[in-house]
This record gives sequence, structure tokens and C-alpha cells, in this order.
Amino acid sequence: MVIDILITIFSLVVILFLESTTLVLLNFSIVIILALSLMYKMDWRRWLITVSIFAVLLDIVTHQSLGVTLLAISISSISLHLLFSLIPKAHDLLSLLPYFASILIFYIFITLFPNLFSQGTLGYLNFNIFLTIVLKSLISTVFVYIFNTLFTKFRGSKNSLI
Amino acid sequence: MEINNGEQNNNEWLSILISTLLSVFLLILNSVGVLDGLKNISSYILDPIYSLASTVANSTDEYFETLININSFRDEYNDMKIMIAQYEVDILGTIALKQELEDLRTQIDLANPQMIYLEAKVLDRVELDSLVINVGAQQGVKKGNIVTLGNSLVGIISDVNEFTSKVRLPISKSSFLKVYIVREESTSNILSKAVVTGSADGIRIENIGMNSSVENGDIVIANDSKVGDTLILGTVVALSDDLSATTKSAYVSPSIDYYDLINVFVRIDGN
Repeated sequence: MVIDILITIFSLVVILFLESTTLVLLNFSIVIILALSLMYKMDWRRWLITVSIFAVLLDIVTHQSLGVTLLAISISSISLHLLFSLIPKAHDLLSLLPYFASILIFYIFITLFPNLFSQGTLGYLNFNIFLTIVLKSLISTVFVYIFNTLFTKFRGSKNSLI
Repeated sequence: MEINNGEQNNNEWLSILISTLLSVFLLILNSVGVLDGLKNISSYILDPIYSLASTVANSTDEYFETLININSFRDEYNDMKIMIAQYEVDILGTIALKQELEDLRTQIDLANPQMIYLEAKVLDRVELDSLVINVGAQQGVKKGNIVTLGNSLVGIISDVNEFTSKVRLPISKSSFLKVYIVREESTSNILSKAVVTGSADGIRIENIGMNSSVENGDIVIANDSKVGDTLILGTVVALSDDLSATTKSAYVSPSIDYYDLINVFVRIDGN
């Protein structure tokens, strides 16, 4: 139990470091990739606690209103869940579409809404920013695919060992 | 199996619902400022991580930016090299002008006002005993004209071309001048007469009267019919103290460095 907590704290610190780095460097979020990828792979309680804590910590360090990132992840998760009720998860490439759409929604939300909660006005979104968001979403989707593939292979090899 | 899937689906919805409600709850609490304490404590621990991450990110960004812009940096570097070269040329030009100005001032202050002087630039040095200057017969220079800088003797024109001339320096072996030696404090009192010849070791001064009170540091002034004026040659150095000799000898330390000259003046009305 103690080891689990320590590993969780260490993982949080490492992911926070990576997230901060990618945010500053490319305005690119790895949290949404991990959150959506692990949604159907982790115990829902653990997923909820980890994502909530991490989202709150991220809001603190990035000086945003507490809960903004969690709300963005939640909305993104809702869209993913809804889209997966239309598109089968089993289909390899087609199943990436819900991920892409959900990540796109996450980025649009993160671009528009933090300002609304802190200053009362929506953030700025033009065509160029939207294109950047689409590109980031595409890259994130590729990462989700890689993560899912690796996870499946890892789990498969683990099961075969057992 | 279907029950399990349904249960899992419900759990996922539940987790999403809880996270949504939690985020809304947090936003409300944040807006009323209840969470400020928590934010402060957490930021105290987390800000160093964020700062470190930002530093790493910015360094990486700078590195990649440099890498991406390496072509423009190279062009900029080449442009800067050209600019620096231009500035250096300008600076050298300014230094040359400044030197010329100083030489002209010296010439105006110290030269004989009854003589006509022609400004010339040193083009080259022939071995160690001659200079080539950029004025010649076209400008009225004649063989035997005296070359000066201020009240110092530089040499005598030994060869004249149409646009250039050769100046024989006092250090030349073929140079022979009558001089007298005075002390700085009383220049009207001649300490001794002597002759100056060029040698491989330097400008040699000979025939200094044995009983004269000439000392190292005394001023050597050219007083020769070839010069036709009193021009400073330099100062006495390395005075011999051979008691058996009938005369003293020494060397002359030139008042000007012949090898650093840029501008000189040819006295074209000297002889």
C-alpha cells in the first residue's frame, strides 16, 4: 500500500514535470493522452483519483482556476464515451476517431474556457489556432494509438507468461 | 459477460459524472477563494518542479530554434563578418587620418616656415636603410631633397622616379652627415661637433671631442650642407668610455622610428 502511494506520488511528479515541459515547449498536453488511454484500462476509482489530483495540481502550477483541467478532461471523457457508443472499440483505426474528436474538444475547451472562469471572457480562437489544435489532436491521437498498442502487447505478453 | 460490460460501462459513466461534479465544485470553491490556502501550500512544493520544467523546455526550445535557424544565423554571421571588416577598414582609415593630422600639426608647429614642404606617404621600406614615398618628379621632388617630420630628419632623397622617390635614411651605410651635440637644457651651447654614419648596428656617431662633456641622452642635431637646416637626428646612446682613444664614439637613438612612419614631408625648396 505504502509502495503504491509512493509510486503514485513519484509518477505524479514525473508526469507533472513532463506535462509542464511539453506545455511550455509545444503547448502540448500529455495528460489528456494518458487520461483517455487509461480510461478503459484502469480501475475507475483509481482513474478518477489520479486524474483529479493531477488535474488540480496542474491547475495550481499553471495558475488556472482550480477544476478547469478536470472539467476539460471530464467533457472530453463524456464525448469519448458517447462516441464509443456509436463506433465500436474493437476496430483498430476507426476507434481512433472518438479519441481524436475528444482530444480536439479538450484542446478547444482549454483554449476557450480558462479565461472565462478567471476573467469572465472567452479565450481567443482563430483559424490558425484551430489548425494548430487539430494538428496537436492528430499527434495526440497517434500517441494514444501507440500507447494502446504497447499496452495491449504488454498485457498480452504478461498473460502469456501467466 | 454482458452484465460485466454493463457494470463497467456504468462505472465509467459514474467516474465521469463524479469528475464533472468535482470539477464544478472546485470551480465554485475557487471562485469564492476557499482554496487559496491549498493553492499556496501546493504551489510552494510544485512550483520548483514547474520552474525546472520550464527551464528545461526553454533551453530545449532555444536549442531547436538555433538548429532550425542555423542557416539564417550563418548568413547573419557572414554579414557581421563583412560589417566588422568594413568597420575595421573605417577604423584604420580614421587612424591613418588622425596620424596624418598629428603629423601635419607637428610639421606646422616645428618645420621651418620659410621652406615649402610636400606631404608624402610611405609606400614601402627597402631593406632597412631606405623608404619609398609616393611623391616624385611630377610633384617637384629632386634628388638630394630633405625629408623631415616636424623638426626631425628622416632622410635624404636618393633616387627620384616620376611618381615615387627613394629616401636614404641616416642608418644607411652610405649616409654621412656632420652633426653637433647639444644638451636639452641649453640648446645654444654646442658640446661637440661630430660625424654620423650609418652602420649595421645603427647610426654611429664618431669624432666626439675627447674633452667634451657629451653624455648619453644629449641631442644630436644635423648640421650639414646637404641638410641646409638644423634638424634633430636623435639622442646619444652607448657613449664609449675608452680612455686610450683620441675621440669618443657613440650611437644615435633616432628621434623618430623610421619603420613606423606613415606620413613624411619632403622639403622641395631646401637646397
